[in-house]
Amino acid sequence: MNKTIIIGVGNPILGDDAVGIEVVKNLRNKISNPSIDIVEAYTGGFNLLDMFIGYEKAIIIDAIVSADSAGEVKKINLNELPKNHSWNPHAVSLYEALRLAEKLGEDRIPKEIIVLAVMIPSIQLEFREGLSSIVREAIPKAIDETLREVNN
Amino acid sequence: MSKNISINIEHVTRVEGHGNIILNVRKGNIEKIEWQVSEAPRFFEVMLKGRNYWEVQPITSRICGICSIGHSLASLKAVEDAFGIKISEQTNALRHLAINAENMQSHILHIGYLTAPDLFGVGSVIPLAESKHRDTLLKIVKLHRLANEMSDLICGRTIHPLTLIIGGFSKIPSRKQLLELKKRLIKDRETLREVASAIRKVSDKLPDFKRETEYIALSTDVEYALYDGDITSTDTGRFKDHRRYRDIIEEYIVPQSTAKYAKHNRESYMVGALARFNINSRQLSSNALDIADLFELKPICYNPFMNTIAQLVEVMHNIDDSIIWIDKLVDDGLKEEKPVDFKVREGRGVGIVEVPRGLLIHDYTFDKKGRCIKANCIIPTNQNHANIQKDMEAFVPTILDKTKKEIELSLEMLVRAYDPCISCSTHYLNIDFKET
Repeated sequence: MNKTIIIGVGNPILGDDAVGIEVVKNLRNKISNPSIDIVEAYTGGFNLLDMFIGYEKAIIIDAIVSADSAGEVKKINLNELPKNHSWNPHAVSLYEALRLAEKLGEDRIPKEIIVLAVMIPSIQLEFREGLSSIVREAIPKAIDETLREVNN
Repeated sequence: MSKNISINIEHVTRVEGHGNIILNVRKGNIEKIEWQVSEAPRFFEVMLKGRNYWEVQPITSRICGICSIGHSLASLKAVEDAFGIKISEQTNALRHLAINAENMQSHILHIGYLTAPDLFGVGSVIPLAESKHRDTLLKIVKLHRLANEMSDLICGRTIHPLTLIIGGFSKIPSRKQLLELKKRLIKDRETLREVASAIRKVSDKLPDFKRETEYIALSTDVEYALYDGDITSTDTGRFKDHRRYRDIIEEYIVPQSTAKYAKHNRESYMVGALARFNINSRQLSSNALDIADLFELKPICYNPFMNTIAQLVEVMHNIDDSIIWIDKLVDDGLKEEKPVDFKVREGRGVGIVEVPRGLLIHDYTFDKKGRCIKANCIIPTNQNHANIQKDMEAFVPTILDKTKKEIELSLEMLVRAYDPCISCSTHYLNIDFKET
C-alpha cells in the first residue's frame, strides 16, 4: 500500500463546491510518483475515513465558504474542523468519523491528516457545472500548496 | 394499585421515522394507550401517476434508504408481471443474492445499532464503542460492512440499486468477485456466531411477553421465501392469487396515525422476521436453526420481542443461502445476458417480496403507452401498526408495577422490536373519510 493519499472532495455539479475535484484532476499531470494515490471523493465523513485509512499521510482538498477571503487557500488543522454534526442528518462529519474510529480502537488512522481549504464565495443551491472565475484562479495556488505538503 | 402514570414519548428514538407512545394511567386504571404515527405522509403513489414504466423503479426505490433493494425488486416484479416478462435463471439467482444482502444489511443494523444498546444497558450505539462490549460492536460493524459491500457488488451501490433493471441486470459481478464474496461469507459465519452468543448472554432482558396473534408472510415449497412465494397466514393458510392480495390485506384509517393500519382474520396481524420464522422455519439452513436453538426460539413464538432474534437467525440463513446461489452461478458459468425483450401493453401487474420488515407489495396499472395510471404500495410497517397497538394494550397491564422510567423503556423496546420503518409506512392518507 502506498504511503500518501491526496483526496479532492466536492460535488461536481454544485458549482464552486467542485474545486477540490478540479485541483486533484490537475494534480495528476504534476505528480508522476507512483507511490502517491490521487482520488476524487464525491462524499464525506465515514466514506472519507474508508479512503484514507491505512495511509501514513492524507491530504484532503475541499471548499469552504468564506465570502471575505474567496479565492484564498488555507491549511486547516484537524482541531479547527467543525465539531458539530454533519449538515446531512444521515451522515457524520469528518471530525465525528475520526473520533468514532478512535473510540473503536482503529489503529490505522494516518499520522498526518492535512486539510487544504479553497475559500469559495458562497454555497451553490442550484445545480451547475463549472467554477466561478475567482475560484478557478485559486487552483494553481492550491496545487502549489498540495505539492509542498506532499514533499514535507 | 392507585398509581398515576403519564407517559408521552415524542418521538421514539432508534427507529426509522417519527412515532409517539402515549400512556395515561389514573388511580391504577389505564385510560389511554396509543401508538401514534405522526410523520407526514409522502404520497409516492400520486407521484407515480403519469410516469413511464421505466421510471417507476428508480422512483419507488426512494421510498426507503434501508429497503431500497426490496422496493426495487417489488417494483420490477410488478412491471414484469404487467408486461408478461419471464426472467432468466441467472437473473433469478442474482436477485436472490440482492435480497439476501439487503436482509443482512437491515437486520444487522437493527440488531446491532438499534436493539443492542437496550440489551447492553446503554443509551445508543456510541457509548458501546467505549464499553466492555466494544469487541462485539466491532464484529457487528464487520458484518454490516460485509452486507453493505455485498449490496454494492450485486446492485452497483449500497443503497438505491443501479444494476437491477426490468428483465435482467445492467451489470453483473465477475466470477472472481463472487468467489471472493463467498470466502468472506464463510469466514463471517463465525463472526455472526460470536455476536449471537454475546447477545444470548443479555437476551434475558427481552421481556417474556406473549400475545397470540396472526402472522402473515410469503411461503413457497422450494425455499425459505424472501424473493417469491404465496401470501400465507398462520390463521388461514396459503393464498395463491397474488393479484388479489386485497382479499387478504384490509387497510383502514385510524385518527392517531398518518399511516394506514391493516388487518386480515383478526383485529391485527404481524409481518417481518418473526412471521416468516413462524411460517417457514422448517426451510431455514441448519446453521440458522442452531442460532434459533441457542435462543430457544421455536415456532409458533407469540413474543414480539423475539422478532430481533428471528432477524439474527435469518442473517445466518442469508449467509448460507447466498453461498448456495454463488455456487450455482459459478457452476453454471456467468453469462453476459441482455435483459429480456418485451412489448409494452395495457394492464396491471403486482410484485410481492419479503423485505426485512415483512411483506411488501407494489401494484401498478399501465395504459397502452406504458404510462402508470394507478399505483398502490403496501408497506410492512403499515401492516404492523395495529399489532403494535394491540401488543401495547396487552403488555402495559403486565408492567404497571414498574417505575415510570422502566415502563417507558419497555414500551420503546416493544416498538423497536418491530423494527418499524415509519416514514415508509406513511404513504398515503385517505382524506375522504367522514367526520362523525
